[in-house]
Order: sequence, then structure tokens, then C-alpha cells
Amino acid sequence: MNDLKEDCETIRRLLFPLLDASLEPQEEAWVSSHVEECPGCSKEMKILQKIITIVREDDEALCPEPEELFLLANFGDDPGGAITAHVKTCFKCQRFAERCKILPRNEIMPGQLLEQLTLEGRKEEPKSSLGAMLRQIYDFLTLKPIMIGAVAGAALVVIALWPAAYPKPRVALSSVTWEKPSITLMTPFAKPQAVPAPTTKERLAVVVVLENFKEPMPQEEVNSLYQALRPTAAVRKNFNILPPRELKKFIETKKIATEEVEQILTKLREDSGVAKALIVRIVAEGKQYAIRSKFVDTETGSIAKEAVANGLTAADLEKKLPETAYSVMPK
Amino acid sequence: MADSVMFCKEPRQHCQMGSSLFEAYSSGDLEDLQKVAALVRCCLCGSEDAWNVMYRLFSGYTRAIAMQKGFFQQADADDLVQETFLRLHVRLLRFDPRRGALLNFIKLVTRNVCADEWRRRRSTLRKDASYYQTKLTARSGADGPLDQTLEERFSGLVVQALDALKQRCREILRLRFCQNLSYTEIAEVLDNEPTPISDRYLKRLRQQAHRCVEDLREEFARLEELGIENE
Repeated sequence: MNDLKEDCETIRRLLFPLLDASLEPQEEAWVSSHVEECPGCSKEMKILQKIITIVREDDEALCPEPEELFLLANFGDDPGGAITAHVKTCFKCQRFAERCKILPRNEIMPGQLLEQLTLEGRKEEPKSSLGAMLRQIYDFLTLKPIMIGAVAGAALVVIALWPAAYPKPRVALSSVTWEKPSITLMTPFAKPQAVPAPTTKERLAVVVVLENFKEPMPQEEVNSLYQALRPTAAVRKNFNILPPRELKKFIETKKIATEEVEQILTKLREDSGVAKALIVRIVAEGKQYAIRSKFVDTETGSIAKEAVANGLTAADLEKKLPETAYSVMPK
Repeated sequence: MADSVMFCKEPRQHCQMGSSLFEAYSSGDLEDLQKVAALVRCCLCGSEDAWNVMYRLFSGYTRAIAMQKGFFQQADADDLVQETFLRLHVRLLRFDPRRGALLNFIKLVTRNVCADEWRRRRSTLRKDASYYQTKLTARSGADGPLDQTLEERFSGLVVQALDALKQRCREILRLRFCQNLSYTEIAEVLDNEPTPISDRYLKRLRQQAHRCVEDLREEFARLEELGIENE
């Protein structure tokens, strides 16, 4: 019994190294088999996985407070230099620091807002919150039927008009890396998206979107498409590429639906510093396919260039794909 | 500062100190209680100069907070900034510089404005409602709903436990979990280690990461116990 307890204590210290793929194969086997058999350690493993998932999702919890960033950005306040060091590697905090700068002296508040704040004088809060509560209830009751009616009406229109056979366009996900496998240090935490390095190269994501496919494309075929889209040396020279595997991990970690193409691009820009996207739409048209490629600026949404190839058979698709897709890239 | 300057005896009287207020704050004196009190009092009196100073100092800050989580775009953020200042107009009555910094106060007001707007529009924004609510509850200190779910409570405790970690631990965990960097890349980014990184260094870094997770887990357990004791 004591041995078991000692084992459990040792095992619990090794749970994170197991998740982190830091154990030797023998240790890994021992810890894994113990976790399978021991309800206590198994529960502990689940708690640890849950904690790590929350940390991954709430990356801002590890960032400095807004007021610390404000003081750094405007007054250089950073005793110890920890915040400066953080901001160097955190794209989100860099953006925050840029946005929170104090305005110059000649800037004034918009006139209408200033008028409301100054001419009305002090506003007292209602002495009782009952009035505010009644107001909220009234707003809710009058708003809700209208909202329900609008939603129901919209749903009927969508149902009537939506081509039921075809699901929405969705981003195809693949674990293709576009690189020869090097020594991998980790497995459960898959290969990283690199920190946007302080270089002049912009970050580019290559995103395949499947449209009008009645049934999901087999994963092997999706992988072949992404393999065919391996960036040329010229593209690599000009851009820092986000491989398909990282795109997949990003979408899965952020739990974005693959149909939400716009949201994916927005999050890629905001969280990963992806400045440009090569969107390659593959549209099923009966027994033939079309490729519609566009090179997009994720910040402004503007499309620099588009290319189309129609009437392709399945055999032509892989061959034509890189040619059509990369024809929209800047030279 | 002279009393007549610090306190507007007449409502809607312009403070004569607009530019000097801005100078005071531009040099970074946001922690000076007297100056903060003076600014707030002038705002409450309806001083245009004081409100313009507030706007110059904090409109960027409130906009950055509104856009922080990616729920709101630029145009929405502009509206939220205006709404925040309107709400500050009322809330400043409650502000006491002896009990907290003005920056923190403005942050809380901004987040409450954003939360209210998000609730109003939640059908068109991110579906995972509890995710945003949890972050507000855990990070801003705003009152959470009384019927907080277990999941929200769990997340809140994790966020609190993270706050207790040392800065280096937070950075290692952020680079490892949030940016998915390998230990080699963490070594390059965090410590500017020249390549090739030695195995010994990598081993030490891994051990540090493991200790950080242990500390996180222990702090989580402590907070959980504390929560149970207090119930």
C-alpha cells in the first residue's frame, strides 16, 4: 500500500513531463500504464490537462495588466524590465501598447460627447436600483418577441432558399508540414507556430476552402491538395509561411468552426500576426472543379489579385492547383 | 496645489488649469493622489478642459481594452469609448483615489461597458458566452453572476493561480502553451541563447517549465481549498 502511495506521488510529478513528451520511452510506458490503472492519478491527469487547456485558451491571463502596458507605452515605466521583455515576444501586447498611447495636446473630445458630459452637469445615479431593473425588464419584454420574430423569419428564409444538398464552404484541415521531419521534441503539444520574428517578412497563411462538396473530402485527398500547394522558393523568400499543420492546430486550439472563414482570418491576424492569406477555393461543379485563388491582406480585407481555373477534372486538379494558386502572389 | 484649483465651487465652472493638468499627466504623474483628485473633481464639475485631458489620456487606453479580446472591431470600439466616457461621468462619483488607481478604475468601467454590449449583441458574436463572462469575472474583479457554473469557477481559479506565479514562469508557460514554441525556440526568444542551444540548457529549461506547472497546480489546489472553506 505504501509502495502504491509512493508510486502515486512519483507519478504525479511525472504527469506534466508525460504530457510534454519529455520522458524516456520506458518511463512514459510506466507512467501511462499506472495512470490507466489508478483512478486517483487518472483524475489528477484530467485536472492537469484541463488546467493546461484553460491556460492555452486564455493567453491573456499570462499577459501584463492593461494599466501596466499603458504605463510602459506612455512613460516607459517598467521596473525590472519584465514587461518590456514580454512585449517583445507578444504580438497582442505590442498591439495594445500601440493603441493605448496618449493623444497629442491638440486632440479634443468629439463635440457631441463633450456637450453631454459638460452641459448636463453631474448625473446622479438612481437612488434605488428598482427603476433601473424595471427598465431592463421592460426592454427585455419588448425586445424579445421582436427578436424571436426576426430570427424565426430569417430562419424560414434561409431554409427556403438554402441549397440543402450543399453544406457551407469550409476550410480544409491537414497535418501536412511542407518540411522534412526534423527531430521532434514533443508529441501531445504539436509542433509550434513560431513567434513572429523581428524580420521584414510578413506572415502568410495558405488556406484551402472546399465549396459545394456534398460529402466531406477524404483526408488523404485533402493532404494531397496541401502537398501540391507546397510554397515555391520564391514565396518562401518573401514570406514567413504558416504550414497547414499549424493552421490546423490553431483552428482546433481556438475552437473556431471551419465554416467561419472570415473569423479564422481575423483570429490569424490578431493572435498569430498573419498579415497575408492565400485563399484557395476549390469549388465542386458536378463532376468538374474550379479553382478560385485570391491573395488577401488580412488587416484591410483587400484582395490584391485573383485567379480562376474552371472545368477541371479530378486528375487535373492537383496539377493545376499550385499554378493557379501562386499566380496571384506578388513577384 | 491651491484649494481653489483643486475644487470647483461652482458647477460648470471651467477649470483654469487645462493645459497644466495635461502637462502634469503627460510626465507620468498618474499616481499622485492630489493631481488625480483634482482631475476627477474638475470632471465632475463639468469642466471641458478636464474632460479633454481625460480623453487625451485615456481614450486610446479604453479603445485598446475594448479591442483586446477581438470581439469588437475598430468601429465598435469607437462607440464603446464614447459609452465608457458617458458611464465614467456617473461612476466617477464613486471613485476614491485612496482606494485604487485611476487606470484600474477606468479599466473596470470599460470592461463593464464591453460586457454589457456583448450581452446585448451576443447572438451575433462568439457563441461561447461563458468564456467571455469567465474572463471578466476572473480578471476584472467585477461581480460575477451568483449562479456561476463549475466550469466558470474552475477557469477563474486557474486565472487567479496564474497571477500568483513568478514572471519568468508566466513567460515560459505562455511561450510553451499559447505560442506552442519548442524549448529550443523558447531559449532563443526568452533568454537570447545563441544557437545551437546546448542539451544541458534545454534540460534545465524543461525542468523549469515542469516546476512552473507544479507551482501552478499547487496554487490552484490551494485556492480551491480556500474557496471550499469560505463556502
